[in-house]
Amino acid sequence: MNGVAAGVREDDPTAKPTRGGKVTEIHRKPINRRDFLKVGGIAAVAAAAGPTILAGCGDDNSGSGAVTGGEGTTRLLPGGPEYDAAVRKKLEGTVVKCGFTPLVLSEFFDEMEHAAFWMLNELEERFGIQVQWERAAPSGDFETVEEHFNIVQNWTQAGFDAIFICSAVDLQARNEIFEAARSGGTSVYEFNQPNELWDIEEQNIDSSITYDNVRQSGYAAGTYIAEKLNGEGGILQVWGPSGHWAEARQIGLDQALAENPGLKVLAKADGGYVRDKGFDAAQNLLERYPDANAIYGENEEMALGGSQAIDVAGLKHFDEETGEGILTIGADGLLTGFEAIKNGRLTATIYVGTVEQGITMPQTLFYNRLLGQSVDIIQNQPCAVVDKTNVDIYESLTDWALASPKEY
Amino acid sequence: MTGEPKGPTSGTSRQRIAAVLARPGVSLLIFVVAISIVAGLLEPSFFTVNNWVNMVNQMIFVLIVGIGMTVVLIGGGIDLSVGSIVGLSGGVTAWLMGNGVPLGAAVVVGIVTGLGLGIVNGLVITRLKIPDFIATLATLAVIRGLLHAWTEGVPFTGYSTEGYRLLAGLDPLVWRITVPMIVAAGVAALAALMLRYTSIGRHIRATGSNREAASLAGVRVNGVKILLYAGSGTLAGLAGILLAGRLDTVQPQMGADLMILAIAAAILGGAALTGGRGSILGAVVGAFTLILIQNLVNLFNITPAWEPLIIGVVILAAVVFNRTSTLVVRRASKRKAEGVAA
Repeated sequence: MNGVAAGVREDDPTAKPTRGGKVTEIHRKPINRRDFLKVGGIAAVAAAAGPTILAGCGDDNSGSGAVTGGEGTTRLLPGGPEYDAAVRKKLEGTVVKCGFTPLVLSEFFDEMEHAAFWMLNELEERFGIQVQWERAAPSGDFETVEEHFNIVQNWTQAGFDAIFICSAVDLQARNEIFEAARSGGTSVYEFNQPNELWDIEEQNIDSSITYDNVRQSGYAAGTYIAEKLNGEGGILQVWGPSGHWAEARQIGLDQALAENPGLKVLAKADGGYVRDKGFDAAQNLLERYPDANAIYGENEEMALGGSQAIDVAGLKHFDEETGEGILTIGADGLLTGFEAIKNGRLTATIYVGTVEQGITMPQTLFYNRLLGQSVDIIQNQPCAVVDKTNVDIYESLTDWALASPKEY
Repeated sequence: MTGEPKGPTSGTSRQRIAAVLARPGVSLLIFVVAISIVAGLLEPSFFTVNNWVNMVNQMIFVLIVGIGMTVVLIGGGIDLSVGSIVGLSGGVTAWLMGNGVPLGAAVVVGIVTGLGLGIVNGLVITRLKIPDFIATLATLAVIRGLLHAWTEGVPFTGYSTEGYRLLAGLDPLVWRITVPMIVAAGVAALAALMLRYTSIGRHIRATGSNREAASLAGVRVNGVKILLYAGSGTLAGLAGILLAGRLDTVQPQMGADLMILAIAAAILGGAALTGGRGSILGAVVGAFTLILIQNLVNLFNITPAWEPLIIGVVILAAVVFNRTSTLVVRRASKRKAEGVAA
């Protein structure tokens, strides 16, 4: 049975987490905070600088790997005019039918999809590919199998070339769904999935464009809390319903807590991934633990609910200078979250590579499906802890993504 | 001297007690009091003013929608679309506020939206002769779909103002009393008075108890139906406006949970799915019970994975207690009456 932090022993940070009794190798070596900050920092700089560097850096169109463009042009793929001509010769006029099916329609997936539109537009303009893009999401409970199964089946029947899917369905059920699609000639690319929870060999996909929920989200959030609270304090967790993301982030948080024994989880409640339930849950928890030092919402909506609960209770938000108040941290990296950070109602959030995932999905389609290149099964994207010190970077990146030149 | 009027409340004090306990919601109230006393003894933070104010503020949305649902159930119907109406009405108000429309006007439009959707429900049921369950199931999907299509999955945010915060209860009006508390109390009082003392209240009960007999007795049952759904829609709209103000965001799925919670509150409070039975007191206690359970789950730090099970067990216990105590008291008074007669 999938359990929160199943099998992770609090006193052993290198213990491998288990699912249903089977040990899952998630980390090859124990990670420490210094390694994480080094990698995370480099990734954050790369994520922030990437589109800026790539956009309109002069007119050098001859360098291999240099992505340049004319004024106002953003080129996300490498290659100069000769490359474009060679690819165009092969792919011009190719019609590519793609399906995009997140687990629910939301601000988060909207931002990701708009980032994908940038890449799709570039594929069309540079290589003469015609893209047909469809979007569908389960309308009911996102954890039900049937709706996603039906969507994938319908698209496979319709001869789609590729399906990009983020599903809360269990691995076994997903494999069944994907087997039918892949055997029908449709490439299946997952996105935003905590693939680190399962062995690579068990996953019936062409690739997954994602991020490591354990290291890059749960552990990152726990480490940030530890830094800001100097390793001491009580945390209230407002968590989503049991599922992959909740499990993975919990594992990461537990690892951060194991490295910082002065931090304790005082209580945990189900916030349902929505603002109102998160608000109510945080209100109830704060009633019991008004001296809590941090509220960690597994997603931004619940963290913002926690922030509202602090306001209504007449408590203080975290002040970095004095170290007083309640720190609030979420995950997703939404514009609404960035706005809340700027106005002091949210301390931090985890930007989970939303834009990078969006861009990489069609890139993977291009390299893997259209050019026949091999891609890694798991393509983790750069993430970052976003607070007041760097919120402008990720807000501007997201604004850029939402201003895609074409809608599909 | 004329004899005492004969009726259910005449006779021995035990029969009077039996009559009171048999009223919808009373047994549940006893259950709630008992649970609260135990909870307070085990967890000191339960019996703080803060915690009870929080619970009251949290229950308001379930209560307002639950009152509408109770009245519909009494009238022999059921309104599955309330959650969707909450979402769309809240969305309308939020969107208008975000586009600079004054709060008063935005609220009026939001309420009219709920009223209009409720009237549509009533007309579909009465004019097209579609069963209540099917009709409101369809409008549930249509209305929710409208909100999804309008938002395209991206929530409305950043529309709140100081006035809206006050209206939504984020800032108290006086001491700890918030505007939604007053609104909910007013809605409950009006609904209770309507059901008890007005002809329309009698017509609603008659329609719910036996539609054909009510029609033969001269009750305009179609008009009653339309009124029921108009009222339910209006209250759902009102709840949506308050909820949108409380959250400062309108997600496409906002209010989706409220349908089942409203039905649960009404049923827990003694309303019958078959119609003709229910009370506003019952709806109040039912709504509070649901919020109380969630509060206890959080205060006692029950692992989230166990929450649905615990909540289900407690609801079941409340229903069993409610039913059992009513049966026990009725049997006791029946035996007493038979003993007296003998």
